[in-house]
Amino acid sequence: MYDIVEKLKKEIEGFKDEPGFEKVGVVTEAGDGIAKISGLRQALSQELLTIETEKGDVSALAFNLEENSVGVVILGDTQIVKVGDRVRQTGKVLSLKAGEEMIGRVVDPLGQPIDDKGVIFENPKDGKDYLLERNAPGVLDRESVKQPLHTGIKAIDAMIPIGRGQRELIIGDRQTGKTAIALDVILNQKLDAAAAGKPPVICIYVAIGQKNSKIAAMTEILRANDALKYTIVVSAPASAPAPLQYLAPFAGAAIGEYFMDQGKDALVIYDDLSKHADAYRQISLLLRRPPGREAYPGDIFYLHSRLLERAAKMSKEKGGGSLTALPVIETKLNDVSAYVPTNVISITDGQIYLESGLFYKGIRPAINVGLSVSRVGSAAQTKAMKKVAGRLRLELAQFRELQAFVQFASDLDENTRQKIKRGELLTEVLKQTDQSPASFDQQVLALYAALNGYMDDVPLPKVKTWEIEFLSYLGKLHSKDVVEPIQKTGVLDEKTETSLKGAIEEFKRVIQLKAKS
Amino acid sequence: MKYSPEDYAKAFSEIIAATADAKKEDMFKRFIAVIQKNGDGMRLKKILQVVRAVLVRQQGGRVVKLETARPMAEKALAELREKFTAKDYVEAVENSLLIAGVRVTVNGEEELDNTLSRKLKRLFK
Repeated sequence: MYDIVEKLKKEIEGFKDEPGFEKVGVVTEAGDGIAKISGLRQALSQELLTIETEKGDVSALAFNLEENSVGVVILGDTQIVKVGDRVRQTGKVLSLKAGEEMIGRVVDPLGQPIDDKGVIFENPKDGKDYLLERNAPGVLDRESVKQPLHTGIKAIDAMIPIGRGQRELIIGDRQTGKTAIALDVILNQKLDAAAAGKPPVICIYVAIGQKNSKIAAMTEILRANDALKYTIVVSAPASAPAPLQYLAPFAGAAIGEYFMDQGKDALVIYDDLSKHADAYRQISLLLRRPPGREAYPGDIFYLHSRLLERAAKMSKEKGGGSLTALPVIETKLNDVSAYVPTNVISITDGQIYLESGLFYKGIRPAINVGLSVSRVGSAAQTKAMKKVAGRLRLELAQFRELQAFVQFASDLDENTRQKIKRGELLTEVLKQTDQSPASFDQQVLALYAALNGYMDDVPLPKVKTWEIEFLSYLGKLHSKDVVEPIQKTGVLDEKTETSLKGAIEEFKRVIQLKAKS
Repeated sequence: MKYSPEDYAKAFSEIIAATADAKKEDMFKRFIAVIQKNGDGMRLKKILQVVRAVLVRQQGGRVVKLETARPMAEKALAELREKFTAKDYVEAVENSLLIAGVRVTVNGEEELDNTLSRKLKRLFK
């Protein structure tokens, strides 16, 4: 106690205060999470300001620089800001502290922990300041996308491959499994890292405008599956003020950039950008920015393009790290031609389109492979998968054309019937339940068997069981000659293919014998 | 709301500049009537503040606000007023939150804060 008093006395004695003229602003309007400030003519766009309220300082972000006032979004407790409060410039733009210590934590869009696990950075010197708004890497700093990012979902890895540094949109109506895909991608990074013997891709899940219960359930699934060890959750739930929901994806990008700059591979999932656009629209309308189409402000395209441009695969000279972005967009009644969906479709390098019709038919993940594309991912697809799944898209396309005739199957010629049967089989093989991502080698093996006719005699209801037994059989008896070479090299060479063919025939004989006995 | 206080101030300052001195009072009454007619009576105080600021600035002066925690003695206030020019508009306001000392705000944009509340705040920051 004595020390504390002495220290305080010294501080008071040594306190120097030389007041001089300072620039100051005054709150003239406040409400709905925004405020108008008179004065502060020198304020910069996106500059962090401090509002001095009776109950303490509150941060605000300069948004609208007008002739006679500054429109700001309040980042703290909006209830305590009142007209007449003084506002000062900080000379800083919004940033957060990023570092390894963030892994496994749930943070708010300002980088503050919200998971009751205490402070993130014990030492104030730890971590590095990263600007929330930062320019995307330039052309010379980048490299083309060529390394795969396995999702663990057969339909995606086989037909819509994603590369590290790519931006792939997940789009679909509500309740079609968009978040489930994102979750599976995160869970699969552990499997993929174990198979490759490398550290897992650092995942950042940004929840924007989601229910708190959903975020809690998601975090629990990650924790239960040991995935929180390489994941960071940025949470701006529906109960968070619109400015925080607006900042959340930028915070996710800043954290991702930290890992990318360390030469690591990071993945950021923005779930979802529709709600992000809504939050931005709310702020813009309150700040009386002119509304455009669907009442979104004119710069809504730039908002998402500058965010998604930050995903990149860096060149070797720049450390070789990568930041892959999986933005999520929720459509209304499968309308992909709405304003925000078309914007994000045009910004990204492809889309995974989920259809409610397929979902209710029991095809899960409900991916419409006809409308889903990956514009740059094929260069990143693993050779073994490319070799095996090359025909998959074509066969499924042919099946979709003939699907209308399924009910007249008995009247069709043998060739058409065969194509329909193969299509049904492939659809069945591509089905996957939630939270069960398949490792890349398992996908290659299952698709090889299906596409080369080895599963043609398997009745559809037994396809899943056959696949599980087949993979288990290969894992136990052909690990050295089939599974490991594919895992290690990512290639299905002639020798391995011959061994695989032999192994499949051997497995088929075994199950026939089993069935007879 | 059709017009902002700045719009009113700009219009009034231009019209008053072109009005003869004898008719200025009448013009001001008309201005108040227009504000009431436009349904902006609730914002009358704010509008008049802006009008005053515009007029003072047009004449090359500054709007100065002197804030003190307790009512200032006439002599002290007069001394402070002397520090400014005749063109400046100086108003004294009480603000008990300042505890002690004086805060001077010029044109609502610059301030010289020599109050105890600020010193305490800085000390414990």
